[in-house]
Amino acid sequence: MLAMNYRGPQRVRMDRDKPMPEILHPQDAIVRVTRSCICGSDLHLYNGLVPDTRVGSTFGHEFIGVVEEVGSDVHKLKVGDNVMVPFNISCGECSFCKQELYGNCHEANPGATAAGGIFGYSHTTGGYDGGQAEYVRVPYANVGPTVIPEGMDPDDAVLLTDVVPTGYQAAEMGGIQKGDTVVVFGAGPVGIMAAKCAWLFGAGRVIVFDKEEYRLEFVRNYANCEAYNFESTGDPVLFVKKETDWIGADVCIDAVGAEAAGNALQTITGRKLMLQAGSATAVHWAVNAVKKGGTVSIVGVYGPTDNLVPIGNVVNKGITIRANQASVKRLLPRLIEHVQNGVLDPKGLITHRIPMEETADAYHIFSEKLDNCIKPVLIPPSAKR
Amino acid sequence: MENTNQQFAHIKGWGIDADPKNDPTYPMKNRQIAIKRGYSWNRPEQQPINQEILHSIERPNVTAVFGTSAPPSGLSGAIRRFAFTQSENSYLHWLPLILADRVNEVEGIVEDLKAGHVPNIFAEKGWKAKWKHNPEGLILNVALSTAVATAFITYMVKSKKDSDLEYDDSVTAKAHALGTAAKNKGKRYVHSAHDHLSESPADHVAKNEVEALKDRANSEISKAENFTDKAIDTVEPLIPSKGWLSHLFAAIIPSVVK
Ligand SMILES: NC(=O)c1ccc[n+]([C@@H]2O[C@H](COP(=O)([O-])OP(=O)(O)OC[C@H]3O[C@@H](n4cnc5c(N)ncnc54)[C@H](O)[C@@H]3O)[C@@H](O)[C@H]2O)c1
Ligand SMILES: [Zn+2]
Ligand SMILES: [Zn+2]
Repeated sequence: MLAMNYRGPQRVRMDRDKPMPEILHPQDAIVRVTRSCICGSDLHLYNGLVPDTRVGSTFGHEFIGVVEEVGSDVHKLKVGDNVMVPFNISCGECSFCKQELYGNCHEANPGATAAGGIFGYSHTTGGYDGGQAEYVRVPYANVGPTVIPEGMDPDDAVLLTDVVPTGYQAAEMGGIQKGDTVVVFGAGPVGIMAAKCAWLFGAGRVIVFDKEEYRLEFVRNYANCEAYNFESTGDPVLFVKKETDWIGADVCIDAVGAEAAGNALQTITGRKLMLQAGSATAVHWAVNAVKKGGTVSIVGVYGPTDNLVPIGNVVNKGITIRANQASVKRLLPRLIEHVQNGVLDPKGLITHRIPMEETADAYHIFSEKLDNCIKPVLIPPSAKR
Repeated sequence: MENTNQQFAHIKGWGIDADPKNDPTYPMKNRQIAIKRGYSWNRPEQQPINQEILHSIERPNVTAVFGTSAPPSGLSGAIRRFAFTQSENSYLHWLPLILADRVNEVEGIVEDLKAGHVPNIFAEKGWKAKWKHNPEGLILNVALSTAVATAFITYMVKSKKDSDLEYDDSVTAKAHALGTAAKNKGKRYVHSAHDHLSESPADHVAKNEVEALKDRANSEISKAENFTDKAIDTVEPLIPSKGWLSHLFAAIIPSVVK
């Protein structure tokens, strides 16, 4: 089958002869992929920032498809079902899954107790081959995969596997109260969705920072918010202080993660020398721009070692930090409703539809922010019909 | 609240998920779900373990399911095996994994070549898209790589025949600096001998002293020269693998610093 093959930092290719996945566990299903996305999280892998990313593995954790085969113990799905597959792999049995922390399952990732299982996301999250391929093995098929409701656009469905729940949870973890000022760092798909969802929790003002003008323009329209270029505002923290009557934002959201720009020291130590687990500029700004007693919500992804974060300010300001991998399954019912009622319009984020054969080019375009790209979707040849 | 639904009427769904109880500044915990403590749940059936799976030593077993992509192999595999003897809390877990990833990259190229496949690095990097959407960037990239390659080759050729040894590489520079320091030390002996000589040209004792100083100076100078040559000889073979060295340093320095 056709599958993405990682060869080293910034080097990926498509192989035509990757063996088909097989049922390896009674609760496995095999899904034929019909849409698959590239995510900002993939860029951390692509740039070699996640330890134990092995050559020969296939990335991809945002995909939908058709069930082709099920294991002996799968009863929630049947062959032919159209499913969206949450990016987290979760057993539904462990105490974390029972608490609906589906992003923190304890029975899906042998490689690290500090992370749950994720499709196509290195051996640090379980060593699974991912969805940037024609077929994927989907474990615990009774738990995560959800049948796509009748009439839902597949482009909406594929974004419900990660971007929408992640943006929504970013806002939810902020504990936004009616009238709050919410600052979102990052106008990638996740930040845009977080800005959009902040309103659903009653935000009074939403401010987004990024450095890509086209993304700022996009988020202003898509999420009815203010958006500023941190390369021209000067120190974004000072800017926020001035904009909030010298108090700071009620809630700050980091939707950037390890690839952050904007601070030379962080960039050099985090992304070039890899002395820390990526550049922590966005968390740094979030902690310093939030008001005393405020909340910082982190969905930006970092590596498992350490980052330079002003923890002293967290203490002195009495800040609450909330962070997690989105618990997709927990949020899906509510978010499906929002999409069906037209409250959220995920497919509006998709700017590029690229044949899966051209995945290497797609990575380059998304990573370098070329051609006004917000969100690229890969279409496998078998799904063209 | 001064904000009313009216004010945000233009935003569809404004406030529909607002939850005054979700205020993490004054944390509350949902204790409605009775959770047994410890690793006590009914585990799902174990996926058969038919290949080498490295598991964190912070857990007693392999998870009920796991991915089967790219089992550890070769030198990178050996490094990964070592990494998994250390806990996730240890730099000796993560830094070797980062090193293994870099080794794995080279193994990947070797494996490709062995299979008769010359990796098309341009295609893998997606430079076709770059050519389409960012031609200036591509031209700059190619120009830069050419310049760097030319500079590197010139430097290699030059360093082979040039006795001035103008190394800019940090390791060779350090060796060179050590050699120069030794040479200077020798020169200082010569100078002080000369000073003695001019101060008391007639003094017998002084003349003996001067002779002794001169001898020491000469021996220091030849030592210095030997040292420089040796240093250069040791360092030179390492030059082509400078990239690897810097990766190694990048992996080691943090554990030293912290
Ligand atoms: N926690 C989760 O469950 C989860 C899920 C999906 C994605 N993520 C993470 O969310 C982050 C964003 O994902 P994405 O797909 O939107 O990625 P993206 O790369 O498209 O977007 C990141 C944006 O941040 C901007 N940026 C860079 N430095 C900045 C700074 N200092 N301040 C403000 N903006 C800055 C970039 O220009 C870019 O537009 C990534 O780290 C990704 O790994 C987390
Ligand atoms: Zn994602
Ligand atoms: Zn679980």
